[in-house]
Amino acid sequence: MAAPSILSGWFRVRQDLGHHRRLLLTLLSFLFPLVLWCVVSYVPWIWHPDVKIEVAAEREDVTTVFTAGDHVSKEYFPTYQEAVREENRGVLAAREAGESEGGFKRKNQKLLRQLAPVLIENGWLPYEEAQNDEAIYHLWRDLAAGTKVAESPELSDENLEIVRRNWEVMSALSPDFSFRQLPDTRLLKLVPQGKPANPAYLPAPGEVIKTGWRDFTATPANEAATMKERYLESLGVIFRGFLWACVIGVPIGILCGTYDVFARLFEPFTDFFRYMPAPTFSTLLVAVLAADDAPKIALVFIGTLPHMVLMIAKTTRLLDPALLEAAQTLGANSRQMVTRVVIPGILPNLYNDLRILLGWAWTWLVIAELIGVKSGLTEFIETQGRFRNFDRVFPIIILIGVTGFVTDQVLAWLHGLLFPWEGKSGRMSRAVAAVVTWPARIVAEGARERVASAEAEREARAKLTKAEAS
Amino acid sequence: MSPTTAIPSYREQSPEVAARFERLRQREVTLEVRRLGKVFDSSRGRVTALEDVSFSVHHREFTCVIGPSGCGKSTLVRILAGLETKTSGEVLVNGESVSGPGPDRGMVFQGYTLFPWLSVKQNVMFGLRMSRHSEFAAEREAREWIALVGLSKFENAYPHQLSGGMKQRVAIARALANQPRVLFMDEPFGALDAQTRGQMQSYLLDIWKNVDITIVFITHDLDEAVFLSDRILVLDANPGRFREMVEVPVPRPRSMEQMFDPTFLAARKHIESLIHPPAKDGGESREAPVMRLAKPDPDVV
Repeated sequence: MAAPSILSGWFRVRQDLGHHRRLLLTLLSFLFPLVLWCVVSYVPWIWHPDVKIEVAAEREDVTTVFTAGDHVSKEYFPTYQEAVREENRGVLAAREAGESEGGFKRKNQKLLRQLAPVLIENGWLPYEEAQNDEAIYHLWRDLAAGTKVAESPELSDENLEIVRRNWEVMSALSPDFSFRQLPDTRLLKLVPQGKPANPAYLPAPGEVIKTGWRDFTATPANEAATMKERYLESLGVIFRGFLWACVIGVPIGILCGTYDVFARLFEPFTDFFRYMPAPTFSTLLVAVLAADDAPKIALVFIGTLPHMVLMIAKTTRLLDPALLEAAQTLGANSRQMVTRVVIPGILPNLYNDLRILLGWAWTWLVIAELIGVKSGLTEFIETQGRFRNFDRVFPIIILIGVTGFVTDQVLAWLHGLLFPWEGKSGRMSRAVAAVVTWPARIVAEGARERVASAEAEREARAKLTKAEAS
Repeated sequence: MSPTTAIPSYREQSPEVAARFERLRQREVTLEVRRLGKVFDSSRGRVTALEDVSFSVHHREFTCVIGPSGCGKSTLVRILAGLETKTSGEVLVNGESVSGPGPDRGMVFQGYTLFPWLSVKQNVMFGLRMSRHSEFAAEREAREWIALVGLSKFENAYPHQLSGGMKQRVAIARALANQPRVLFMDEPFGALDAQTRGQMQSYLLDIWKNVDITIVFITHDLDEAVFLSDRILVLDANPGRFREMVEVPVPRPRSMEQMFDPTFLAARKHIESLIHPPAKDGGESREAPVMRLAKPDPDVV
């Protein structure tokens, strides 16, 4: 039996697949890692060696403090819960025995805030108001009364019971929050709650999207830069560094590829220089150019320039020498050979070289932002990475990746628009080119007609005067 | 064997052809090559590519250069066009010694060498723009040359959109637009299929008829050489040396039917004998070695 046609023809040596299959595979190449990430993150029995704490509790006489969002190992978590339950049993026992040890107002205030992460996640408390005790106090009331029910994350029955018991004690003293009116004796602690999680360095896609959205939209406190400002700052550094490299590197590269004298003069040292990693110059650059953006731009510049010179020189040498010979037999002098043949001839390849180099420049940017005064997106990655907030790091990494990828795709598409003679432009880019150049073509057409009529008139007049003369 | 006996000597010219050659000889000499020599110094030692080559070409003459591979015919034409330096000798165009490339000598290459970033029209305008023609004048002239090679419909096309034959027509128009004294053509139709090549040869003769141009044409194709030329310069190989300048006895105007004329065959046979001298041992053995797998068939011989 012949294989169904949908299955046949996927593996043919050096043969292109059809358009639809290519598109499908392109989508799959992005979907596959995403699906893998989702599976590892959301299927609870796959991996998940940690517990991510949703409700944390401080313990007496233990200096290690966990907060909500921290990860602890699956093995340790029950021990942690048991320790808190033990403390609660002690509190209850003391209460039964009528002991009334006082001085716990401050601790109780903290204890109330135990609930804050749950309240925030459920959307009852804004992220910035994790210490708004009045609001938290009322939410304890609502949860105890059952007018609000926590859904994600849920409160365990055990904890709900504790909330009710505590509220009984608190409401007897005051309906609203007031530090003075807090119970002076110990309240019960919420027992730690958590859910299976992967290690902190692999946050789930949902968390990444959520924290990413929060970070990108938030206005951070104490005048720190917003994410948009950081992004623009990073783009500014890479753009200026790359632009300077182009201004210097492109002409030198073309000269090296065109004239042997420049190639011998510049290339050996450039070849040597590129083996000295650009970051090794970072302290030097900071010393010379001081803080601020200048050393960062210089680092991107230094990192990109040698490769640019060598690549462009090579590209220039790849130009078919027969074109230069043809130009010579057509009477081009050596200056015209460069301006009329070499430069237009290498432009499409030069453009592609610059695309590749721009990709490398992003690598230098990340290092550049770490030197001197840390700045831009990388500073955020550095800081959050140190706090192991990898769910805040991933969105930035992805942002950089998307920026690079989209830029490159747009530039690739523009290639077809800018260089129609390569015969690689699609129908779309040809149409856009036709629309964009339309006004210029109209103007040129008009000018040509005017010149033509003027010329024709002059010729007619010349003929007339000749006729008169004869 | 009987047709060979019917072939006259290549030296026999009809009175009209003889008279025409007489008139051609009276014309001024457009290109003169005197004792031209070329030695390549390579790491493996000195290689003499050309030795003592002398010949001259008259105004509006069509000359082919032919020879066995390695006879330096490409080197010769590259030196004449100024793309290669000569080791000794002299090249005169209209009596003036030349070295280095110049717009007075046009060149058409085998590999088309059109500028891919320029449209057909802009390619043809290239040489005119180099010599400081105004954009307008250059464009007007270019249009005429494009019309001459029959590509007016394609003046705004890019080279990658053209077939091989069309590209070579553009290359010819581009070279002619400069109005050079001599046009060198280095196996220009070598990369084309047989049919297109035949068309291009007729095209070229038409153009040559209409344009004041002297053509030196390199080829390795005997039929092409005889069909196109007035005279054929035959070179020897290793080192490249002058062998003979053959006057083609085929009357003009030429047409494809003449390929079977006695005059055509005579010239062709003579040149073939110059390039591939008959084996000295009296005919090469034609017997294929008997192989184990050989399978004779009386109808397949």
